[in-house]
Amino acid sequence: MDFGRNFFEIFNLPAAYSLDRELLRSRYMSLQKEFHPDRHILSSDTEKRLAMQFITEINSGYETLSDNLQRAIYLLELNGNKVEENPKLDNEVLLKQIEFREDLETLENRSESRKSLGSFRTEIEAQIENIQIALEQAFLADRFGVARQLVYEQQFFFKLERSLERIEENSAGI
Amino acid sequence: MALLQITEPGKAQDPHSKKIAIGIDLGTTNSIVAGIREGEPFALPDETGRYLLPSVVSYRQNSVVVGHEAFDLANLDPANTIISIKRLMGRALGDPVIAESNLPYKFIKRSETVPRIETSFGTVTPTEVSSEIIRKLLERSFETFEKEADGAVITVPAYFDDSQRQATKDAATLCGLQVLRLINEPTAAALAYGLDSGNEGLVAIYDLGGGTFDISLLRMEKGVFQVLATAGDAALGGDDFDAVICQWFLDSVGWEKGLTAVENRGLVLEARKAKEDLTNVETTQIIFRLEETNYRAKLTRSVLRDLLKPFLDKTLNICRKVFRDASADLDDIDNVVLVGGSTKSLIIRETVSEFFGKKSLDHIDPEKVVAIGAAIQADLLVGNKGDSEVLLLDVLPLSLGLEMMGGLAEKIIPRNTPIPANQTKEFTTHKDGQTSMKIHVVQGERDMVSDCRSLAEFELKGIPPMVAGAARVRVSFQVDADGLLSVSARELTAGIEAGVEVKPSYGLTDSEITEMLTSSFEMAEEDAILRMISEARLEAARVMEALAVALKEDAEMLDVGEVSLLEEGMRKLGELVKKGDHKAINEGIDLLSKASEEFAALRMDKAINKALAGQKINDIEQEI
Repeated sequence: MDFGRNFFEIFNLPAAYSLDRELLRSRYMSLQKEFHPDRHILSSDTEKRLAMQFITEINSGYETLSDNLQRAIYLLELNGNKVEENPKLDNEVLLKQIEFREDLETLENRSESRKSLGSFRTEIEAQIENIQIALEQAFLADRFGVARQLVYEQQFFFKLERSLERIEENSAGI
Repeated sequence: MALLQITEPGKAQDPHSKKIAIGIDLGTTNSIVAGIREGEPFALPDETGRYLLPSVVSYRQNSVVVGHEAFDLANLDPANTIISIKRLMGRALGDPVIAESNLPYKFIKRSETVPRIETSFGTVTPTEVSSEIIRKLLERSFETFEKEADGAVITVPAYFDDSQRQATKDAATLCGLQVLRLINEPTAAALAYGLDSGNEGLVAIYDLGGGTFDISLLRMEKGVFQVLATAGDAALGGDDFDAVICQWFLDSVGWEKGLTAVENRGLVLEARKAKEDLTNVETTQIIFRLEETNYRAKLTRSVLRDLLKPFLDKTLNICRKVFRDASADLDDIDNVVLVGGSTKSLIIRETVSEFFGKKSLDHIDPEKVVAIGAAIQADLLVGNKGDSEVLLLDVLPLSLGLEMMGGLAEKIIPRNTPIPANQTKEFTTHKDGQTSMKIHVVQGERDMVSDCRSLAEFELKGIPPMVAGAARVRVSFQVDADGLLSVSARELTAGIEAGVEVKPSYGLTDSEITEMLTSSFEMAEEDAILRMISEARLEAARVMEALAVALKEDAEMLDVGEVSLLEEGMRKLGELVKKGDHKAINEGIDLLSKASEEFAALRMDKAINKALAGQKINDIEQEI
């Protein structure tokens, strides 16, 4: 079912990258209190189904908007800048990514202490932080093309972070 | 299936008309049922005042014995006495939990999937064994309230996957019990604590039972219990501690021969007792007779601590993972709640409070707290509480995905996504002229399909022959509020559709359930028909009452003709109800439901608009 509203409209928030998290959260909660399936146990089957579809949409909207990267992707798509699966990247960016990948592989193959993993993590986190700031500025200036490139860079670092987490989990024996 | 009756919202209810809603904690070692009386939740005792029902079912030649009596038979007749059945729920026969364990049961090799145990009573599945436990608990409820329960909330470990959840729900269905909702055990415990003491903030629930471990992080505020992340191990618990104590005992006394299943069962029970003793004393002794000789070994708390350490370290690592998933720090935690029989152990309590740097909440009996929380939720769901603010928001515990080329699992809905949730993804063919596509649904965190849990497999046929990559197949996943999944696939260029309710291969088919229902009730045909008529009547009453309320509120949304059409439909259905032919009643219900579908959609739209408009008014107030 198409409720005819985008996620920003559902939560009655301006379609912008900067976000009032408190407001998003309080609206999410009040919509939950009204439409959660637990509130519709006694409704007719059709109403149950519709409420479930709407609450699914609310959940998905909340997840999308509260996540910095997903919100960026969603906003870009609303503005007609589809984020590609396999984008073309600048050589400079590609080289940087290859270096980080190599560093990770070296770390994975060496049975060294967790300390080097830790400092690598700090480095990744700093990159993510910097890209995040650049992303906010790009959206403020309506520079969607730039924002999209930044999204691609950010996606890479998130993937890298996940790989790192996996290495940490393996070494911790989870 | 018994259905709920409807009362108009907001109207004060006659206390005698309150519905009987119960909470059931179906545990690995013990099960428990709780209910509500005069607004207060309480665990229901048996006739001798005991709350815990050992989750043990013993199959005799002509009868089924459940609970304490069955527990006493566990040693004497292990092949026919099933303990810790929860560990087998929703698992395949080839699953390591079954295949690698030294269980004294006779598994039938006939089916590759559902484990079937041969007993002197006949062949039983884990779902049926569990349903015997539920049936026993329902007897307690009947004794206490002097009428049948209208509905139940049943708890499952947060880390249970789809097939384990489905198997649990099926077990209740087998007893004819209406399942209002499946909720996660830690969430239920949080509800019991949250309402009990008005705690707010970030809460960690450490739930270590007989066979499962769960850790959940919840945020509690203004009556909303929001699960942020959950993790666990569906095969780690007190049973493992017992096993490691047994091994330690055999090593200590120098026994190398291995044990028969009967001896093993006996030693496990001794080990369990020793483990429990060490909470109160520093040292205990295990004495066990093997081949006419008494062997004895002294077990101290510090030895036990060493034996348990690998398991407890594993739980703490899982705790670290859940913090990472929720992007939270240990310092952010306001409260730690202990749940599950194993957390009664002193060693475990010490370990947990050391890790969290906080004393844990345990003033509600950790063995009762889950059932109590479930009863509170059941009471809310049937509307006994009126307009309550309390709401549970839970998440998907394990990622759901599809098998891709090369045996890789592609995640469709990641773990810790709030439920209900849906997600669609488009795929394409990889060969020219390919006319069908296999959809293999899996659950788990690993990259390879072979390391994940296989939930269901189905085929989308009739794709028009095209060049590779030209077909577009959209696969939709929908997870409901019980955490149960349904999947559908659609080829977009030709519009071919296929779908499954994810009834895993380890579960039971609907027809198997129907068959069991009939045979287990041993219901005479007349009784069965009477039951169907009364169910159809109840359902008709429910539909008519819901529609009457809707018309009273929103008749102006329809034109006069539409209103009289619906009223006519209700009148006709009312006549059918009087005549009492259940098939005709069910057809009438379907007709009326279809006729009112548009109206329901309009009403939902209005509710949504109202809710969204309400936000704007609040904003203005805030700004002023």
